[in-house]
Amino acid sequence: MSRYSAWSVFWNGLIGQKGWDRVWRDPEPKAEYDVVIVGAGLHGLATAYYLAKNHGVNKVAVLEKGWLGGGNAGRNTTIIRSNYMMPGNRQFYEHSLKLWENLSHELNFNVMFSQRAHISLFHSPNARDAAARRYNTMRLTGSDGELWDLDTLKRNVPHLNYGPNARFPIFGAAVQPRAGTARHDAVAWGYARGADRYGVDIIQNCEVTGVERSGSQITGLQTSRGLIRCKKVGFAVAGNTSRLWRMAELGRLPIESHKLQACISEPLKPLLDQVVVFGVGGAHFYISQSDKGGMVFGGDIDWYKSYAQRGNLPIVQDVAECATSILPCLGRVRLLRHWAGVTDMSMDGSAFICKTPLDNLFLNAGWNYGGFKASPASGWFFADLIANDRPDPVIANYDLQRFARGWNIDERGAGPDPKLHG
Amino acid sequence: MSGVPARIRNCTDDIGTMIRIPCPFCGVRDHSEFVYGSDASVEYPALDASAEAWLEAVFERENIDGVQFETWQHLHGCRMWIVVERDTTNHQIHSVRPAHEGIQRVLNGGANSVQEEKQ
Repeated sequence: MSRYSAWSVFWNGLIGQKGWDRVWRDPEPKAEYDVVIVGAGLHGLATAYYLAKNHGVNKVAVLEKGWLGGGNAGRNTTIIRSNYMMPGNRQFYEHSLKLWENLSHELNFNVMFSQRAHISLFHSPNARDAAARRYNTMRLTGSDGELWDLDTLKRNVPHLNYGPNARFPIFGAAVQPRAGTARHDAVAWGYARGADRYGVDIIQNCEVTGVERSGSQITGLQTSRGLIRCKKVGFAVAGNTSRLWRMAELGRLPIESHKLQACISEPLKPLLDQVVVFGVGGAHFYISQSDKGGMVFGGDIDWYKSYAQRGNLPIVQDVAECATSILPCLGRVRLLRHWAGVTDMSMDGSAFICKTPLDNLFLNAGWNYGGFKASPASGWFFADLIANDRPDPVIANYDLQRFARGWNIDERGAGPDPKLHG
Repeated sequence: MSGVPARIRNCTDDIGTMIRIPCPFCGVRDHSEFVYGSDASVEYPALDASAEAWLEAVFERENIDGVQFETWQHLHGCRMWIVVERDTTNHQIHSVRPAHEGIQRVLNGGANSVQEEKQ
């Protein structure tokens, strides 16, 4: 498979673009693999890539019921940041951000990672204190973070509603300059191409329909393309984790499936050069501008449980109100599309990368509304867990038993109710 | 409100942009008037039950892909709590009843049933 370079672009320009190979193979499933990952989303593909690259495990298959990157990989708002504060999350998301910073070179695929800064507005002196605490914690543990006063903010983001009649007057902002956005499809394609180059079989249109068990071992997976036997299995199907969990006859999980919507406007000329987050009172809103010019924005989850991958109007109205409240210049902009993805909402808003009651089954789930930014580190640590059969200390508390230990990783302090972590 | 039962079938319109919940007290309303409570199948154990029983009730969920019972509150209407039987895969609503059984009995039999109960 050819390596992409400026030279290959130039050369193919001369020969009529006839020198490009297909980006990954489309293999028939083999009868047996060392590791089978269920779910060819960002987390599953990244896991397969790091299993092969970091641990030399390359008899790996990634099974996908639809097409790769067609679930939440293609439905997020592409925001990348590491402004988490809880122990565990702090190190995990910073590791992920560091992987993002080199990902295009690592994968030889332009994931269009743009470190355009993530700006969280605050609207009261108390909120400024809370932001200062969070950002000081970040700076003390190896991340970047800044507090911007109103003048700095006005200079950098001139279009926000700074008027005296704003419902929530802006005091300033907490900023992570290294945060930003990336092209979501490119990340899926880059990891798929990278894994494929190491010999990983990516098998699309292959839905898992049953789990073959022998005692506390999984011996194989029944799929729409036949039985696939495996020595180890990893589930990376956030949104549908409970379904697979029931197939494996493992009962209940501290997870509910909810849906999260995102919206994009018609393309505009360059307007907003950062990711801006507005969250005060009942509002929860984030917005950035895509490279094609569309304003990409979203807000809360839809509040009620759903597997429908289909949004509802009240949240569209809610985020539209937030949009015009904070960026009044968007008032006449037309909405192009809005869509929904199904997310694993966990009981404390944090994820699971852990061993399970079955000896050779590993779980990667519970990404709530923030799985996109996590995907490189998620794959990194999940591959390490599967290869070495023990969790890295960073993810030691990303297990299913943490609630029994009283170790909730609850960034929001919202309590054990999945809908409150969106 | 007349005709509520007949409209249950159409509570979710064809393109599914708005769930419509037939409140037993107010009639069919947009779901934006309601707030979602939680999974109504969860039964909390006695206060002196074991920590394991409480762990199970507070943290573990069935997370059904299909028809489930769940609680909603008509917050911006009559403020009553109701139990809604809804399909989580397509948002179809199959039944709605008041969460409090005593109130259901009043709806069924009128005020006399409450007096009979007191006797």
